[in-house]
Amino acid sequence: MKFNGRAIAMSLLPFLGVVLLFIFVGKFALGKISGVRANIAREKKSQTILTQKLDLLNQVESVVLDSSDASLLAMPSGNPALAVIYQLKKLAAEAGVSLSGIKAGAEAADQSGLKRVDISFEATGARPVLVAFLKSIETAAPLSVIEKVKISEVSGIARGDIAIKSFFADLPQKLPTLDSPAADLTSAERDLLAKISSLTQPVFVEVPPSESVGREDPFGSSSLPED
Amino acid sequence: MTKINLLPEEYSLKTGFSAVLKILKSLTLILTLLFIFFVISASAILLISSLSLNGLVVSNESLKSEIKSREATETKLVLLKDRLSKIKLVTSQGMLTKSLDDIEPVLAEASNATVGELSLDSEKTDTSLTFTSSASLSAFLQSLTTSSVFSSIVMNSFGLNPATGYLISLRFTGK
Repeated sequence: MKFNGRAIAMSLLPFLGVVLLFIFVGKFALGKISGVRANIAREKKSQTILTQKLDLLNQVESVVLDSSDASLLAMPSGNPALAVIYQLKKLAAEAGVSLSGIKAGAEAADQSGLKRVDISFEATGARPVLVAFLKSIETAAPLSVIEKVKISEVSGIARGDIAIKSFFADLPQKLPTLDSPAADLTSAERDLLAKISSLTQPVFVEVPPSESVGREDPFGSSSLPED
Repeated sequence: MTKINLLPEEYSLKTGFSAVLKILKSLTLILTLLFIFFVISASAILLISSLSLNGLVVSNESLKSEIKSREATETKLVLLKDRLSKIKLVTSQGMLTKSLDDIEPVLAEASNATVGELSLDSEKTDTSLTFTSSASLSAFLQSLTTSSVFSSIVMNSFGLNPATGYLISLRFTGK
């Protein structure tokens, strides 16, 4: 019986050893392979996104560089009251309308979630000219919406009490991560972009710093004879 | 053939049990061979996959650095999309330009009249006009009947002042 037990053990133990080895090594190897495969799938997905993003950035570069300034002028990040008043005066002068009583309120939160500033003024001129001027307000940047218009006419001269609201909003705070997908401009966004590109832009003049007017060589030391 | 058994009787295995042990030994051998084949295959797959993964990682890093070099474009794209979404909020509020476009020909038709008051918002336009003669009033009302830009035109009042003329007040509702 002793021999029988030894013979069984000699056959069974290697079998069990190989089975156990198969289980543990198999589990480990399959785990590693599936981990690497998952990483490959993730990297492939990331590669697709990155390639699309790079293609998109190359494709929209010229459009975006030209249009982002126009969009920022249409919807500035700071209170646009001064720019709007400048535009109103410019448009009024071009239309032959005289403006008076221009008042800008404090910045307020609009129901749309944007910030806004309310500007009111009186405009006087011939009726068709005044209407043309009113129409031009909503085609100027920064983007303004006429809130209220009341026109009355005396002796052929129309006088309008006009209230407009002009909008602004904070800039985005951070860029998306490098491997996050970027979306192209939709057709609706392109249409809107065409509209805002056609808005009358305010003209900003950059005043150069004044140069020193003092004498460069007050004692004429450069002309003195050297020892 | 004659069977020769050199083992003592107590050490001999029964024939059935011996067959099981033989099968077990064969199975062990087959499993060992399979295990070796599995280890070699798994190592090869792991190696090939790791090389493929490394290639993808290097390629993605290169793409990322290219995208990073276009950060100015990406910033402008993000800015543009942000501004456009906000501009859309403004334009969806309803601009008065359409109301002005609609009322402009009406005012042109009423060039002989005096505008007592014209009040506009994005939905409706209220106006009161004074006509000095019934002929000009009649021509104006005739022109309104052919207008198709408004969903409704309601005459709220009609009056005659011998000193100034015919006074009408109208409400125009846009389409």
